[in-house]
Amino acid sequence: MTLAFYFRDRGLLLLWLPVYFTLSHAALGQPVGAGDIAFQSTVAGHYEVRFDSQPKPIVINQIQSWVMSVRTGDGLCVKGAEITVVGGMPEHNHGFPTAPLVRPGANDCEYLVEGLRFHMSGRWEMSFNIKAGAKTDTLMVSLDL
Amino acid sequence: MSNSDRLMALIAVGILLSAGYFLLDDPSDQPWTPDEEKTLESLWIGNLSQPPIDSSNAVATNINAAKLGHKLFFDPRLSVNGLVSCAICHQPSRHFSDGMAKGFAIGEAQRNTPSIVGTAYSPWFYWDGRKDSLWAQALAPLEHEDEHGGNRMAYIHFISGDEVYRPMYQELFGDLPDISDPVRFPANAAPGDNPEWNKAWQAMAAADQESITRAFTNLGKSIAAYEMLLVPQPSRFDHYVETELINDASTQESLFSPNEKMGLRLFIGKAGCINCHNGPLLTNNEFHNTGLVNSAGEIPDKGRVEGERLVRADPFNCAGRYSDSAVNDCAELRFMRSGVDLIGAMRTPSLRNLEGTAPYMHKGQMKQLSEVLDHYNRAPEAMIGHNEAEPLGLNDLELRQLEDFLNTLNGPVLTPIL
Repeated sequence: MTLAFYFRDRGLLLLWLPVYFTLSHAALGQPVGAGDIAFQSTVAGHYEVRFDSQPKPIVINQIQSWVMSVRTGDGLCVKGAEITVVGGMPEHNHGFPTAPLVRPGANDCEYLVEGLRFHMSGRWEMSFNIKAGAKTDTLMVSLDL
Repeated sequence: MSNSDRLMALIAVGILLSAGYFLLDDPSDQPWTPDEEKTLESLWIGNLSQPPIDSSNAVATNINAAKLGHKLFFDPRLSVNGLVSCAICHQPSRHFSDGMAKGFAIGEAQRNTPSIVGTAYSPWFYWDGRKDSLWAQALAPLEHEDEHGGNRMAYIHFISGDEVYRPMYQELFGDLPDISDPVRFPANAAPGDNPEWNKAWQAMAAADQESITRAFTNLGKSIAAYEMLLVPQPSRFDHYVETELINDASTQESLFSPNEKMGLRLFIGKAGCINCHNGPLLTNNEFHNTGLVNSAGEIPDKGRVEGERLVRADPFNCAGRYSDSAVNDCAELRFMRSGVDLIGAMRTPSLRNLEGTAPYMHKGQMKQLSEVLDHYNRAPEAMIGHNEAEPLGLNDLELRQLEDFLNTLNGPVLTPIL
């Protein structure tokens, strides 16, 4: 007899649904901590991205810049990409407190993400849109601060 | 009894035991978990570093500038009637606030006078963040008709003619402009709402306007250097956190009552206060619409959406010609955002020293902390924009416990000897 079957008969299953969905959601999410955003792959797998945050680990309430290194799967620099970033805290239904921008960095692989600030602890969701030539891909980063 | 009935009975017993556990056990006796301890430490004043460097003010950390600023801050001669100093509204005995709903000097201000203790840590100033440095903020009241009511030309005449101020100024900033020609430099002149002073200002040569304005901004930068030194000192809460960090349970127990400890639990947990009131100053210095009712008879305050427009246009902002920053240093201004969610949004205040800084909120609408807590517990619809906050569902006891905890955040202010 499964738990769901047992409680369905007694009309109590509804009481368990919030618990079930909370646990499921936690299991599905793969957030990274404040000191662990170094390596990420884009959704479609076109690019591999490394971050170097300043300061490290990431702190709240301080405007900051990250260096973002973008390469193809076989390790070649992705030069001249147009990158935008949006993000926020879904739990609190608000976006970034700033308007961060991404611009070319010190070499062909590197980009500078400027103007990032996180003003609350908790889960932040960030979406980097990376367009290089004909290929566009998205990098989703979940960050727990 | 069938297997399913036995299982049901077991579950029922489990539920009753759990209920008994929660009812009988006093949660205030629970030790803090490692995660909670980390959270407490994040609020500890021991984690308050030096204020961030203000690149727009070359004398921000200059002790001689602080000495000059200290004198200017308390000098009522820096006003149109010789009666108003900065300290009229920012009174040291009230944690540098004034105890009134709205500030009052020559006339009544539009908003509540915030404490300036610890404000050097904020990237934004005023409730709506319409200034982006302490020095730019300090200049505005000097020329506001309801505050000091004076004008920059008169202030530079005063500094030039004062035997104490003139050498202090010149040691820091070099020679004052030669203002001996009364045709080029009238007694009163400033851009702004006063038609007579504005007319005199517009008649001045551009280079003379520039030299007077630059000298005027140096006064603001000196006042800012003094204000940089006003920081809160440890409260009972901070001592409590220290006992947690060194595992001194017996001293810890004597520092907080059970209600204060429960209030702290609510603050960092169920009540969610820590979302915005975070860090050692218990503020994120960001802008939030929390559905506050405006003063009776006034149109709703636009808040940050207006402050964002004003700071962008401010000639004294970080990217302006009177700033000592390279433009690329002005990250807060460069990456400032706008948006409809900033309508009616106000800057989060610090929660340190609430005992001495009533009444509360941007119009001083609330005299008691209990009113503030009741407001956040209800989270009413905003008059303008959208209230970010959600109702908290706290009972009366929990609200009292939160208030008890907030009162553990009172402590002295470091007033520097200069």
